[in-house]
Amino acid sequence: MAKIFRSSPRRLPADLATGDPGLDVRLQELDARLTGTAAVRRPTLQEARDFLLEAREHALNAGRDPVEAAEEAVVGLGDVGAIAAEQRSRLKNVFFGQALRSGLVYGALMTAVSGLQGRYDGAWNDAAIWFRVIGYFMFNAVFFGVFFSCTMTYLFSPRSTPKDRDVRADGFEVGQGKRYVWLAWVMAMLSAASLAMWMAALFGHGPFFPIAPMAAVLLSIMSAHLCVGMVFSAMFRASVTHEAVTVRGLFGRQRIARDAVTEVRDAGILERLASVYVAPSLIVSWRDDGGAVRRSRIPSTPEFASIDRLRAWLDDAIESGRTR
Amino acid sequence: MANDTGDEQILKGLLDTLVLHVLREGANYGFGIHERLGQVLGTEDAGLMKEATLYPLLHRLERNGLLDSYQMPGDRGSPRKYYRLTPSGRKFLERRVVEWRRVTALLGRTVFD
Repeated sequence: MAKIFRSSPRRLPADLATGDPGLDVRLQELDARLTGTAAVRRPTLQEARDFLLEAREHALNAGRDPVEAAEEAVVGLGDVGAIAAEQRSRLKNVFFGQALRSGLVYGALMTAVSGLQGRYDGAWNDAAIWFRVIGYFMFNAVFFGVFFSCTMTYLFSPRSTPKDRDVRADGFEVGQGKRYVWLAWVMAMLSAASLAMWMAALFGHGPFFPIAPMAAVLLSIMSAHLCVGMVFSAMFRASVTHEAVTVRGLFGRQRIARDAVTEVRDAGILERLASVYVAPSLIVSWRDDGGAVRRSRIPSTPEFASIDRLRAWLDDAIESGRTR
Repeated sequence: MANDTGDEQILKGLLDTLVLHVLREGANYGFGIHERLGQVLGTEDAGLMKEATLYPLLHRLERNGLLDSYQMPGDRGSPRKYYRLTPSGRKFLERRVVEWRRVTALLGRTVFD
């Protein structure tokens, strides 16, 4: 079986090759041990490559010959097996958290929808009913948990890597890459279509009729929430300079001065459900020119390039405010 | 075997503290941290770093919430990952420093005398 499923050895992406055989062999070895798709492995490889190049340059400047310099860099990087093991632990944490959250939310929602459709009608002291409720919940929790964990986290999880166009001399841009913007628009259209069908079912038409009215209402709300969230995520962009961050969304723009930021925190579960963003978001509190405290939401999933850098910028702004 | 495990635990704890100490000075990237650690340790203790691998250590501290990271453009044009202390990392370091002081004082009064 191992022979049947054995895949061809991974090839180091051309843009990550250093041109130094001593370093490339080590990177190749690391790549072979890392887990996940090319996009998932890339940040770790990139970091190791930068280290190797910088360490080699440092050794060359210190007077070593090229072979010695490469050897010194490789020794400095350390055991690639240990790097790969830590990457596996990180991925496991991310997948598990994502799967648990998605599974619980969708498991509960889909079980509720089935309940509203009358699938659990009968005596509540009948064990078969409870068996059905638990079975339905477990199936949806596992299905949606694994589905969202795999698609959103595993396949689309490069860590906030800024593109050239996002890096400017006086600051940086925060926003989704092209493929995420496309994905968000496709998801928005699909959820709009789904909203239309649930609404049609509510009024006695379409392929989903007949359906319990409450179930149709619940599914319509879910579809509308997803649709609006996807449109907002696709439209979101922020420009950050040393002095301020300018957030652009569907309804115009907002300028938050660096010295006006008072607090930044992750949105809680209820705030996330009430938010137009489907993505987890940061809540930034700041004072406007009149001194009034205002709050802005910034979506904070890893597909938003430089979102981690913006978080660092906001934390620094608060820290500077405290020391002033 | 038991001794090895004990040594590894001490080394791990010591390196965690040293990395957090280096990052207390400000955000830094992988090789920068490696270099700074080399300076902090000096030639006599530079071998300590060879017994551990820096990146798993940084990634573990990040996973435990003691560090966080962000990307900034590096000298080579490609983005470079910077690490910095989180507030919990700062508190953890302060606690660790107190603990290490107690341990060295205790050893100073007993074993080293």
